[in-house]
Amino acid sequence: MKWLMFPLLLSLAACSGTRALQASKSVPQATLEQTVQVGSSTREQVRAALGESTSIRFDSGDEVWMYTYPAAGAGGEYLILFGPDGVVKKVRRGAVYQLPK
Amino acid sequence: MRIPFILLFVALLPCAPALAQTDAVQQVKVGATRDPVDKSYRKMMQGVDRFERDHALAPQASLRFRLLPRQPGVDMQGVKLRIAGDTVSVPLPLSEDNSFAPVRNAQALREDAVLIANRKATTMSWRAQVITPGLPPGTRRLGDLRLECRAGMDSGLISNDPAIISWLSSMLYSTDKVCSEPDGNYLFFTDRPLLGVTLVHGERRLALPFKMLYAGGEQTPASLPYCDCQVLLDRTYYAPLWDKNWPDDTLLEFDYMDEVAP
Repeated sequence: MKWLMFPLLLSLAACSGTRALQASKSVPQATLEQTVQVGSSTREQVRAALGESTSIRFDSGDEVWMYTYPAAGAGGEYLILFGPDGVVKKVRRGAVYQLPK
Repeated sequence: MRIPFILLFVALLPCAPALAQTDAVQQVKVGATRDPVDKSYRKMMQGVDRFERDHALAPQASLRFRLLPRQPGVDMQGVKLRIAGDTVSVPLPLSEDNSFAPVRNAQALREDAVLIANRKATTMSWRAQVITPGLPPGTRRLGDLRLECRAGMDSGLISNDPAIISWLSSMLYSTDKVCSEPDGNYLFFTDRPLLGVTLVHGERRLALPFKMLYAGGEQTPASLPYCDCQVLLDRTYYAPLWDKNWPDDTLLEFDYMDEVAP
């Protein structure tokens, strides 16, 4: 049965269907803080000011976008939560755990 | 030769077009169930044995198993679960969160019994649940998660895939690999949608990166039905189970989408 395992695994890998993440965009933290206003900034405004970055959309209509920014030691991530109405609901920023390469 | 042909068929399944994730879904509620969710009782007890063997990771915690929605629209109210063998039938009462405490039953082991739920196969997923009492609200303990992964993997309850896929998964992914290596990718779930997770140990605080949230952010509408995070994607995270720099007493602090920032 070994002869079948290789094509089988290849097939599984080829069809797994997950996507490569859109690369995150690095933006100075000060720019992020100035651009993104909770309760008023919209997706379109943020996209126009900062450009595309890593994002994910959920069934609820919520969307999370992630930008990186240079930070001492570990890198920093800036997460923006948009509600279903496309307006920023919440942000979160900080240095992040580094995954092994 | 039947098995290889089935394998090839199964291998092609992920290529099939999937329904759009955002389609409106009617609730599925099934009284008497054909093709019900069922799991091996012996396998579940292997998870209990693993929990007892590695209890030092979470010495104050007890083990439960929890049923989670796997498909959109599944009704998680009124789920009934029992151990069923040739002659034995033992109801397992579920608590409000659809978790239950495992029970040892020698006859059920002898009869190679199964756990049967009154829901169709593939509508629910299962997880071991290891929780140290008295933790601050909105937190989990890393040692609990480490033990949860080991007991969950050994119990073979991770998702309700067809047996042939479970068999294939078990060939590819051992408990030690999944629970001890950075690419193990054992999924954990919170009860509410997440915006972030912070590791906290003493004075050290560090957020988990986006890559450790939402099943890595890599699912598409086509791949999502093959992930047991299908309806829980916004509650999904990975924990650094492998990283000894973060001891068992490390807390994971959750920042929920619906919480107002301080």
